[in-house]
Amino acid sequence: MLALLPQLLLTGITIGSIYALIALGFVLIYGVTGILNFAQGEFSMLGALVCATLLAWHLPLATAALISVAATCVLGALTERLAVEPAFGAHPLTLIIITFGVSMALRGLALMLWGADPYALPEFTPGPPLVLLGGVLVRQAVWAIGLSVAVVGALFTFFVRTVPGAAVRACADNAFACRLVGISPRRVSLAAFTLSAALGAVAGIVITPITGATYDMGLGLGLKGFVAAVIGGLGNAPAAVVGGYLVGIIESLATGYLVPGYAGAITFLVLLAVLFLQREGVLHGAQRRQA
Amino acid sequence: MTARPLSRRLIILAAAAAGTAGLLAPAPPAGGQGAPIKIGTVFAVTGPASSLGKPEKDTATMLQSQLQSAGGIGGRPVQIISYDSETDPTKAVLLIKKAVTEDNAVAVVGGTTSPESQAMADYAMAAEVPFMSVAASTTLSVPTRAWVFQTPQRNATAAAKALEYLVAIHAKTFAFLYRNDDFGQDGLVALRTYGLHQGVALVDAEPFAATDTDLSVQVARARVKNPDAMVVWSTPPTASIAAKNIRQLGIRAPILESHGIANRAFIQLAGPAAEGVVFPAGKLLVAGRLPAGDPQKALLEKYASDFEAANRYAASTFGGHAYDGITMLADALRHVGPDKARIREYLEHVRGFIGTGGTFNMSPQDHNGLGTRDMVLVVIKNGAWDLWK
Repeated sequence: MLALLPQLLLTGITIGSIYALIALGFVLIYGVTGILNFAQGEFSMLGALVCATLLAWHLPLATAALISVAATCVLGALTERLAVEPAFGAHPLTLIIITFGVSMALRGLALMLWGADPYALPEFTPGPPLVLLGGVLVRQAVWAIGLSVAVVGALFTFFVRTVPGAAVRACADNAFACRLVGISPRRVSLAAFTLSAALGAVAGIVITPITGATYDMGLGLGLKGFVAAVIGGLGNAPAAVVGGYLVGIIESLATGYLVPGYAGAITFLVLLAVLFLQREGVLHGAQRRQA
Repeated sequence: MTARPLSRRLIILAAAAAGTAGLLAPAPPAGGQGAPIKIGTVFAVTGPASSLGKPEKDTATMLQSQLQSAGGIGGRPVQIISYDSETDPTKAVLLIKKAVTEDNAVAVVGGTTSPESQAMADYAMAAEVPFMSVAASTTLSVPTRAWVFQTPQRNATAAAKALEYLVAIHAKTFAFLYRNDDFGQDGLVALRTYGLHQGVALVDAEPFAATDTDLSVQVARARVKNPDAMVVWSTPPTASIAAKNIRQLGIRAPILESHGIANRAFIQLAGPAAEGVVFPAGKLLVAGRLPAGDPQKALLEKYASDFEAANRYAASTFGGHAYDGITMLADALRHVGPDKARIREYLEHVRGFIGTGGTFNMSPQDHNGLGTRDMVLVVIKNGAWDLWK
């Protein structure tokens, strides 16, 4: 049974890198606005499907990806302006339900535009998978892992080293005080939605060569990313990434050593356990302010 | 003041409209005399199964116009009523009820997915109306129910056809990766049972969920048993992910998949890993490559070209299931007229009826009437379908 272990870990890391990217989108919006955006998975779905369509129109992959990310950004901004901003200051539960509504609407729209069939994207760097310690790792997973690390680095630099980053952190801390010193929480909220839509789109495009893209991929991805973000304490980007990898590895080990086919159920058991044990997450309790 | 010229214009418009209507009204109904005979259809035109339900509904529309230009049946026009179940079993039941009680349909075709068909079959039994299911679950017609018929090749039939491949390549063992739902479990039971009879042993069964994004753990577990062949029972995207993961993990054993991959999406998603994959399917996919003597060849080519002329996309086996259901009903109406009990009786004794799914030979014990001879083994070669020999 030990012979399986390297492959289980590598598979866990591959799946984990996907969850980590989605979790980052959750953390970004939650850290800034206190909203759990359940349309986060839908941004990934739209990014992937728009990119696949543009590719089918014979655009080069890089161009198609850029246009698709830009389009998803616009959608993220529209989501904030049309659905979230009008309810500014409402109870967080109301805002969460609004994002659920947005996610259902986007899924319905995607079903109308793209149908139920899955779409494919080519690997960024095609070639045989890498062999590590007797297990294999697909090349696209390296892209996903690299991307999640790069995004964490960029977010860290932005929040800690730049003035707008400090403004965003200030908003998360105390919106009222921010307004007193001339920072608009509404503008920051718009920026957070736009940025995490971009992040979601990039994540969708990077994982599609591994998984394929369908109109309903957003729901599953969003929930898994949410679990990862909760394990990481919801406000902490590096911890959310670790949470993503943790969920991936738990799923993979459970599939390999316990019961195959119940990975999803086990993930949600883990979520329940985390919520029971520590409401702020296991990796970093009460880390929201340090985003 | 401004209202008057507007209202005058409206009157002129109304008069013109009435005139046009008057010109159109006296034209006789195109399909013969008398009240129309109604056939109800309920397909999942929208919702998750829309890629199946849309061609089914488009086939019904195409047949409606063909029946109309043929002058109806027995001198009476035929009206095919189409409803969209939105891939929802509850809506499907409400719609079959509506078709039977409000529209007075003499028979119903539909039930795109197996859960929808199961629910509709229960209603058809209670209401005593002939129901032609277009879903493939084996339990729809095993055991036989008086009013329920099934036009696609059953999942168990596909499994038996798939096993012919394992026997032909002299595989002694196989691993089975399956989607953990009624479709995958149907396949598991059928392949394990048929395999026992033919001396092909199941050495490993690995379930996965429809939403899984990576199956290399299941593949790695199966690899430990070193099977002669890898069998995957699912639909894309997981069916494609499985094929990719098998090749990524360096397994060279032949891959056999289910009839659930009979669409372009599988080849696009699996890429090079799709090469050489074999699967059982209806003959429509390879109509052009069938030998000239095949009884279905002419019909399949006609259906495909008619469908593609009426719609802007390629014909699929799913539309074919609706075609078989409706044309078989039309055949029954021609022979026994619009009487539910006599239609049921006629359908039960249909022999040698050539449809897109095969040559139907129904009996009171078999309300599907298709067998492994009606399916072919298809191999994916250079990104296209070919007959496997």
